[in-house]
Amino acid sequence: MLKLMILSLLSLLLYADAPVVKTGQTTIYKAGDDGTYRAGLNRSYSRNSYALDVVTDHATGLQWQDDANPQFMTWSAARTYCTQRNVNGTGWRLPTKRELETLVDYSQSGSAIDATFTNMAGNYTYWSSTPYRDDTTKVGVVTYHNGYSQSHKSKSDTSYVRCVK
Amino acid sequence: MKTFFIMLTAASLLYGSYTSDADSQTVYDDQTDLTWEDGVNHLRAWGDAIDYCESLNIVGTGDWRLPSVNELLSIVDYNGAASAVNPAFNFLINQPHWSATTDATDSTYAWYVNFSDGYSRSFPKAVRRYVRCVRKGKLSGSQNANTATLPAIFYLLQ
Repeated sequence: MLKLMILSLLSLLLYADAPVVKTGQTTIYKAGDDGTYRAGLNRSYSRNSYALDVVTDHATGLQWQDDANPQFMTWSAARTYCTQRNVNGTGWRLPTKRELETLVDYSQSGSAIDATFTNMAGNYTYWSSTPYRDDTTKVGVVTYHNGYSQSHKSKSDTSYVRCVK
Repeated sequence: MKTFFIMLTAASLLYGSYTSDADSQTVYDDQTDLTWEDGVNHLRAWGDAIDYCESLNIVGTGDWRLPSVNELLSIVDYNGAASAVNPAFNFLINQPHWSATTDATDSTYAWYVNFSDGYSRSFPKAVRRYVRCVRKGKLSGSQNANTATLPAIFYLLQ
């Protein structure tokens, strides 16, 4: 019964995932590639004029923490940090790996994130809430430095945190 | 109680979910409004993968293309029991699949998504990877029956 409940709730989560946004690639490397079709929702970001530490992604509807004081901590501390965050209201949480990936600008070989994010350009890895399926002691992390890369890190390790809601 | 959760699972699969059509060997995702090719697997170099999708024709529809990395990531199942393969698909396997997105740091590399762990990586375009084509919208020739919904539930309840 418990298994059924978990599966049922997981299946709800599975279909409440991030929408498909454009990758940002506009160069055509070969006719028929991503730069040719540019499929997905338009990329659009703005900084909140009242809560200046918050950037809204208008494609996904997500609000992102973007302040000049990035926190560097373990995964469980990062989860708690987001839960306790009260900037432009509460309801903050760690982003999923997919949500972190929706910010990637695949046309960039330097900082692969929109310039509206003025505090996420460093050589930082950011925690996701998505467990690494081959090792449950690890979760996914995303970097926007030198283009985009993603990896997985032990939960007891330290990374930077950006909360989302 | 048990019935409630079975209904909830079914509802979540029906509303905002995947519809498989066995005749055309395609899967429609109504959340992204994308139809995915779900036929026999092909291993191809990146350029050949694009050419394959560009020339694909399924039930008279020829507007197929290789998916962007974001589109490919949208069908990853991070909650899968054995892999990140989406259970709505019959032919999708737990291997790297090419996306149409080139690596901006080195244009001889492109991004693939590995349905073993659901991670994307950049790799030389000359290497052969699996191919899954996509198109916008529902196939007009398909039956749109919920043929894969029941198997998907059975998969989840195993």
